[in-house]
Amino acid sequence: MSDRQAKIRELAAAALSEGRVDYFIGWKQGFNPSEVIPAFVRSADEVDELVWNPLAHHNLTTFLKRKMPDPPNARIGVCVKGCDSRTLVALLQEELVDKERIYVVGVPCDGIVNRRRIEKEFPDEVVDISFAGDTVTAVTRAGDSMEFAKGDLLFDHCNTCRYPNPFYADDLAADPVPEPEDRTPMWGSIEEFEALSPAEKDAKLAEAFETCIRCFACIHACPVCVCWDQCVNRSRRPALVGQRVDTKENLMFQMVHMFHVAGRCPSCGACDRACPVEIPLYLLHRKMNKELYDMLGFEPGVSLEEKPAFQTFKLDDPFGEH
Amino acid sequence: MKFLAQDQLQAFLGHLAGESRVVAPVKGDDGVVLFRPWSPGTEVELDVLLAKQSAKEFVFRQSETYLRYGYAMEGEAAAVVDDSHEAKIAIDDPAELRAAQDAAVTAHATLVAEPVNDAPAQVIFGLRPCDARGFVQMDNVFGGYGGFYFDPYYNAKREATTLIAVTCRDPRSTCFCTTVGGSPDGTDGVDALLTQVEGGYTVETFSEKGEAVLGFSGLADASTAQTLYAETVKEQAVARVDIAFELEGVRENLRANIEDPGWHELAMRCISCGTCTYVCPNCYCFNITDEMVEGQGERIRTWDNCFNPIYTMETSGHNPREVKSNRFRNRFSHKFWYYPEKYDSLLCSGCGRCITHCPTRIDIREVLSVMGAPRAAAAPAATGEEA
Repeated sequence: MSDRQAKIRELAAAALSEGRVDYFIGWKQGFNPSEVIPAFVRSADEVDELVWNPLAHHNLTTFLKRKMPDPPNARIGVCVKGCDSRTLVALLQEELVDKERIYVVGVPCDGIVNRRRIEKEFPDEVVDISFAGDTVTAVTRAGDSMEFAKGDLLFDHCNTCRYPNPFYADDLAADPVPEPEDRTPMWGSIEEFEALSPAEKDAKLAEAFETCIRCFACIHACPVCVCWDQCVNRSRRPALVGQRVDTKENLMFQMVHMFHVAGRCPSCGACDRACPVEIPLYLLHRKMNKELYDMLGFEPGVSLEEKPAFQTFKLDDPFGEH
Repeated sequence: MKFLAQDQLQAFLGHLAGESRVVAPVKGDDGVVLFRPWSPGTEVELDVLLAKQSAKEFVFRQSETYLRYGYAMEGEAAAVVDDSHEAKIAIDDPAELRAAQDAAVTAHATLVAEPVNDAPAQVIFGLRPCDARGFVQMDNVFGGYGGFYFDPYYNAKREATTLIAVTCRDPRSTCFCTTVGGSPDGTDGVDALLTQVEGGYTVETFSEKGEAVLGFSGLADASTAQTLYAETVKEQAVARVDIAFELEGVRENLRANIEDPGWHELAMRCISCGTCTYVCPNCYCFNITDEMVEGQGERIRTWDNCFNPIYTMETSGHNPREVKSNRFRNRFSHKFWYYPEKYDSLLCSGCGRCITHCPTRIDIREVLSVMGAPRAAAAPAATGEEA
């Protein structure tokens, strides 16, 4: 058992038994050992179901956003990775989460494994994924197994991560992991996209959004997407976004999401991971992050004192100079 | 029983494509397998058990155009409208201008609506028996069961569609078709069934539409060995599917447990999106909207889902399913309680896509094991969940 996992259990048990929280949200094993899912633990006796491993991709702060906490005045313990803590900071900046009602366990993170990369290596079902050092072993239902280097399986945003340690936490599950000294963001594949001609960009976007089924998993998984029942994408009155499911309307729907979370989204990738047809949504948000950084020198969710970019106006905004 | 050699598969599909559109599971550049229109040379992906989406979309379209409408303003009428439009431009007040324009259109233009119902012949190839069974379950709703309602849009496509299924050789751990009355080699709704054997597929047909595919000249008679091999594949497949929960009594227990606080607990990790319903081969709820741009519009039907907050929103503003756990309860109750009560069949064919595609892996097997079983009487908890 990893040290972090043991510490998460210990901190959760303490918070629950001392009555500091009503329930604690962490991660647990899903229907087989290759799946990790959100866990809601109500008593100290149940903390042994909590796990930590590189499959713990869910950004649990989505369960703190408006309408999700249950009951609304619940005191909730929650685990956050570095990227998750940035969405939490974004929610705190806008006072959408009450700081007094949450207990945050920060988990220093060394990268999350993209299970879908493993899945695609086999036609058969992957039923077990285990970790030993930097080696990841996957086993299929028929018993075939394959080893991978963990570094080859990480999410794009983990490879370019500048903030592996939680920004905001009441307690940490481990000592902070080494952080890059240079925090200048790396944009990865966004630069490849920017180099395309307008026609090529159109084609790329059309290709990506053709398969969207408008299931709204992306916006519901998104911690900073907080309109919930009042989302304009669903509204029939006013009917601002068409309900037809085609490339154009799908793209429009995603653009609404992108602009609405601009300045609040640190591109944690929750939308991308929730998408059942694997549309690389994260790239849209990453692109918006780059625009904000280039124009305003702004990074979402890295300071409790700051407000989201589009909720403030400063005379000395370094517009275009960054 | 016939035999189709592996190297004849493309020619077989080409033969089918001569008469109809062919839809088949195809792997995209991103490795995602979806049902897509097939064209000669495209490789069909049959090793991956389930395409990400069911084939539902090709009969029960996600966006179905009912009719197109607009204003006919030809000849004299158009001229009058144009003239009055010009004259009114001078009006400053936007509301007054709009009213004047509307009046001109009303007086001189005719509203025309043109019904649309395109249903070209198509073959859905390579779907699994659970997906085919999904259509049979939807037929009850759209197909005029008991003379209740006959949907012309669904049925036109359904009639024009031939389903060529492939036996599931390697069912997944999340498959539970046998729990809900299906089978990896099930024939409900299947026109023709292929079973992978050495060197190709055995071909069986179960309907007139299915027999029509036997017109392909590359088919041979299956040998006894091939027939026996196919039987073994089927038997092994059936043995690999676990019984996931006790179906007996589920309907009654769901009814009895409607106010049980367990619903609330199971829904905790649900994020209330609609993925499970949209990847489902038989969830059929829809909405109807008018989409209009500059006087021309279409009335369309689009998929809706019971997790959508406005799904049950009433005009008054009251929502009988106000909170997440109410919506969550509906999906399972619909499939295993109200639908069975009405149609004497289940609304689930056990494909397991809702489990594997759910962003938080809500497991229908777990939900029905818990809520479909008798529950100890508990006082209904005041959950305080926020509407």
